[in-house]
Amino acid sequence: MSSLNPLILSAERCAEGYGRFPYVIVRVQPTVYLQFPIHFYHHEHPDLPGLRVRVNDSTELDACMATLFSVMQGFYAQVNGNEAVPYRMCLVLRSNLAYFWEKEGIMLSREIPEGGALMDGQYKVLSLNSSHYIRE
Amino acid sequence: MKKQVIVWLKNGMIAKMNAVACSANSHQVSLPSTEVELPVLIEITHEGLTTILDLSGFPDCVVLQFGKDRYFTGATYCRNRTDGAFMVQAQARYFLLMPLPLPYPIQETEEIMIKPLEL
Repeated sequence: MSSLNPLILSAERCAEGYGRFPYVIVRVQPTVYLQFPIHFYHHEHPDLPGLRVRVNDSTELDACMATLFSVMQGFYAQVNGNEAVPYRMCLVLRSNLAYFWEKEGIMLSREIPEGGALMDGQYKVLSLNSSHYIRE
Repeated sequence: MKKQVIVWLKNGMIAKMNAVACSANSHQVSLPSTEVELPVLIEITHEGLTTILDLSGFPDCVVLQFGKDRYFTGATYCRNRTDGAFMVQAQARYFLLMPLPLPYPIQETEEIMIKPLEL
C-alpha cells in the first residue's frame, strides 16, 4: 500500500494548473521534483506558469499532442542546454502513463514520478511526500 | 512475455517501451479486454495475407501497423464507446497497440525494432 499523501493544493495553485494532467516533471536531484503545468490554448495566450501550447482546437487531442511534442523537445533543450548530466524529464499523461524524455528519444513508463519534494518552477514547495496530481 | 520495442521516428528520435509480446499463428486474433496492459506487440507468424484483430471491448489504443520490412504502413484508432464488436483487418506483420494519447505525431512513425528485454 502506498504511504503517499494525496496532493492538496490551494485554490490559487489549482487555478494555475498544478496537479492536473498532463504535466511535466523535472527531477532536479533524487526526490526533488519541479512540476510544470501544460496549458493548451487557441486565441488568448494564458498568463499562467508552465508550458503554453498553441493549438487550433484544444479538443483535438492528437493535434494537441503533436504540438506538445515539439514544445517538449524545445523545453528539454532549454533545460539541458549546458548540462553535462541532463536533468531527467518526464511528460505525465495519466496516473499510469508517462514518457521519460532523453536526449535521443522518449521512454514509455506505466509508473509515474511521485513523492519527494514537489516544487514549482520558482522552487516554491507545492507538496511533500505526496502524489503529484489531484485525485478526482 | 515482454520485449523491448523501439519505434524510430522520422526526425531521428526514438520511442522506447517494454511491450507485452505475443505471436499470432492464426488469421484471427482476440485479446483479453482487461488482462493485458498496453503497449502490446503482436508478431504475425502465419503465412496468410491478412489478419483480423478482434478489439471488441479492448481499452482505447492506437494500433500501429508495420510491414514485413518493419516499416510503418498505417494506423487505426480503437475507441470502444459501445458494446458492439470492433475488428481491424490488415496486411501488417507487426501490430503495436499503444496507449492513448500518443506523445508524438503519428505521421512521424517510421520503423520498428524489436529486441529482447534489457534486464
